[in-house]
Amino acid sequence: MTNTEPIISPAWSPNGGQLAYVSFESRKPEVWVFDMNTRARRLVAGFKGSNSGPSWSPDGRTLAITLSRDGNSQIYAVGASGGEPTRLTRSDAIDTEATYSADGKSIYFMSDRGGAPQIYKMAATGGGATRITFTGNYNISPASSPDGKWLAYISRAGGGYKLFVMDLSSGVANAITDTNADEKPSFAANSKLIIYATKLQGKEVLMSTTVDGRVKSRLGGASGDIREPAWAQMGN
Amino acid sequence: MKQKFKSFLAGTTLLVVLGATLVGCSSGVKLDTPVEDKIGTSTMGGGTGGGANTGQGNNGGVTTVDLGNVNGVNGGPANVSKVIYFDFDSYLVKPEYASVINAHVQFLSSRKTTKISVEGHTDSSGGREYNLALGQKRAEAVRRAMALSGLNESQIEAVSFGKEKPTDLAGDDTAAAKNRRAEISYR
Repeated sequence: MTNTEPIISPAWSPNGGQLAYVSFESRKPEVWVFDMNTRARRLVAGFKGSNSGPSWSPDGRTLAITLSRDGNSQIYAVGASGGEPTRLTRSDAIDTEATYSADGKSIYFMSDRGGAPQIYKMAATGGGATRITFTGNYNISPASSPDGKWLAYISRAGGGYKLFVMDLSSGVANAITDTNADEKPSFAANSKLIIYATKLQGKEVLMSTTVDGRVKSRLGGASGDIREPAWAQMGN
Repeated sequence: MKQKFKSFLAGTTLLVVLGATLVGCSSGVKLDTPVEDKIGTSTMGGGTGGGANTGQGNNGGVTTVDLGNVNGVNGGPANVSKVIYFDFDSYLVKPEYASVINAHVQFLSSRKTTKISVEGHTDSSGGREYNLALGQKRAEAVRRAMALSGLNESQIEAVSFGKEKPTDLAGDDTAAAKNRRAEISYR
């Protein structure tokens, strides 16, 4: 892990034993998995082009990833130990940021197939997609809560990027922050807290918020910039 | 190496990717540093101004410069730029870059074992993964342009760094224009 190239998009496996992430150490984005027990890591996706956006299926057996090996960025499923990926989306647009629903049956993802980035939902086996976000013209980075009730995402609104939370039963979504550079929401195992990255007074910080946005706190990192949080789902 | 990873993760179930200043991390692992590009193709400003693509078109104030004296099999053709700039929200390889594209294709056509990667980059606004895909579109556009000019596809790979490797950190429009680019990297 000692390198000066960036690492993005960390994702914990459901039992917390493994961490998938995107490393640029080979001068291109590749998906690696680090095993906490063996302290060893393995290359899960290093195909031609860019490999990114890992998300674990709830059973920990499969990773949804984004590959550009067939031209444009599309979503594929690959076994957690690697192997030949199965293509899940077939659009002529960008499809990326896949994230499994809590029951593992669906995948939320971001696509600009409609001309602007919006969040869609499809079966975990791929195929047709249903659009989920309809307000605004830039909705990205979906994260579904472990209890299946909420969808957190980032929406460009009023010149900034803001954390929104949608009640999946009603489809009603609200901005729950007063910051303008929110990124990468991730739910806690209890579905009550969301961690996200944002900027405060020019510094990159991590915040946690309740789903209704009422209680927020800044997490650690008194100095330096912090970004790209991922909450491990093991335990409560 | 494993030990460093371990100490970085010790005592937390919350993983974050840290920015440039890693204070408070005993491992000293730099996970995400907006480093200057090491392949030396992103030198901006102070150019010779003699290139085929210098100062043409509207690059949002960016003048494409010749890098000069970069030669040899690993360095690509001499006196030919390796950076292609894009307009805001655009993946179009502008006509002014035709001579740059052709020069690289010609160079590679006489060196069948030489390979390049085209690295797409975006400005800093928006999500990291979306920008990664957007940068890929730019790299792919350059790859296609080179393939249309006759380059053997086995010699080229289009990849993306998204917004992770800006060349200009100023955060203004001029900086953003410099960051919207594809870099040709000889391997």
